[in-house]
Amino acid sequence: MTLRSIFRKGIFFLLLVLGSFSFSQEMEVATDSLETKKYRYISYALGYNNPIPTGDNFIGQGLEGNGGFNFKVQIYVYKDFFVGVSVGASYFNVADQIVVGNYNKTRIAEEYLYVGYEFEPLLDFYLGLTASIIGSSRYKNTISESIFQRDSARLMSYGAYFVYEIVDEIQVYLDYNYRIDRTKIDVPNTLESIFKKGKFHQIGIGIRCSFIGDNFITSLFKKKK
Amino acid sequence: MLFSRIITICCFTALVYGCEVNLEPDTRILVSGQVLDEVNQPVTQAQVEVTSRIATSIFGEDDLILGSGLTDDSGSFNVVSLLERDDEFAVRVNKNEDFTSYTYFTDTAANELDDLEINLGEVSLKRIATVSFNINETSDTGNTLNFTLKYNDIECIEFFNGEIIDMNNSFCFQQVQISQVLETTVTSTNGMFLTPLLSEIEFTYSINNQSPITEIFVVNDTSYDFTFNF
Repeated sequence: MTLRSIFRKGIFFLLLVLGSFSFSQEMEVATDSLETKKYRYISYALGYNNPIPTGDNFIGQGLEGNGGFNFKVQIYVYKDFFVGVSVGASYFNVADQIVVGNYNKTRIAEEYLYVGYEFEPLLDFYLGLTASIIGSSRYKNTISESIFQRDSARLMSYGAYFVYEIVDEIQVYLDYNYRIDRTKIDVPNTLESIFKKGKFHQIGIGIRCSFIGDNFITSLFKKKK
Repeated sequence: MLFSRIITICCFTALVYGCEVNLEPDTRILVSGQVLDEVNQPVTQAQVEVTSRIATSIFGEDDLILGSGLTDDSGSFNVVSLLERDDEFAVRVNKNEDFTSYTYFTDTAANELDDLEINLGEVSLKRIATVSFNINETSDTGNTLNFTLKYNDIECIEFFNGEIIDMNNSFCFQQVQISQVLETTVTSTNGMFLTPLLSEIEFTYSINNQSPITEIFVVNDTSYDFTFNF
């Protein structure tokens, strides 16, 4: 089973959960509002980020960030624990062709499944931590308008975000992610250390819509009752 | 009618310009070597380009630079390059117009690269000398002169199949020659040619069909003048 097919199945599973789960939430929000602690059951986030290459590797030495975006869906499975899917793209200009080869731009399309925990240290402020479970990225290296070269990698992403709640359903956030891509690029032994991994930071802002309600596991127990 | 013409023109344009070229995915190669001059001193800041022919339209193809770099203080270079499957995958080494050039060809479509590396070893870029020659009859006796000037060309192009050089298609500082006859009506000639510095010129002449005499010169100056009077 390829990484992409795992992803497609993961996304399909999440959408299935969304479809069956979100209707049941509407009925239960009223009773939950009596509780002091409010839980979310799902959030959608759309963000812009700036990739910042780092380290002694082909991204850190050869590329410079030129923006990016991502779309995330988080499903809160138990209290403030969640699983999520992120899809997006990061754009780079080539800063040093001597390091990477003769191309001018790189677009990294990325998708990953992650888990995380979110808590409220201050009223209306939330802090979240995330770590990817599985993910893949595809590099499209542009030489000219019609000439390309492609690379691929498995990715790991570790992140944190800071959310301010404007109203219950709408939040804005700042986020940070540390990305490590384990590439599948075949290189001579002498280039192994440069091309084996690519690393960059992502600092971003975005807007998030989330819905208050029972999380997935809690709602299962309530249904049993 | 007009609509079908527009469709035809669009399809034709798409065919000509719409071809997307994708190079070998998930691959980088390393091209290395050392560039030395005619006295085995390193040639610094020489340009190394890895190129492949890419079809840019249905009518033709262009050379595409896949990797490039410069030689360092020791004349060494290590160029990271993309790879394309091409029967004339090339590495070109140039300094400037004062130096000879070197081109390495290999067939990456038929041959796998060992360890994804191309090591050119020692590459020779020699300074180019301009040789001017003047040959004159000064004796006023109506002699006939047959002469030949043999010298080395400034190009070096080598084809490799894997690590084995293909001698049939390779030529490196190949010997070329100029031959001429001076007789009653034409009593002098002059000209010029380019040859690597410190290479030898072989001048063979025969006056009035006597036994040929050969003289050998070493081109020891980038502007070398050769005069022969008979």
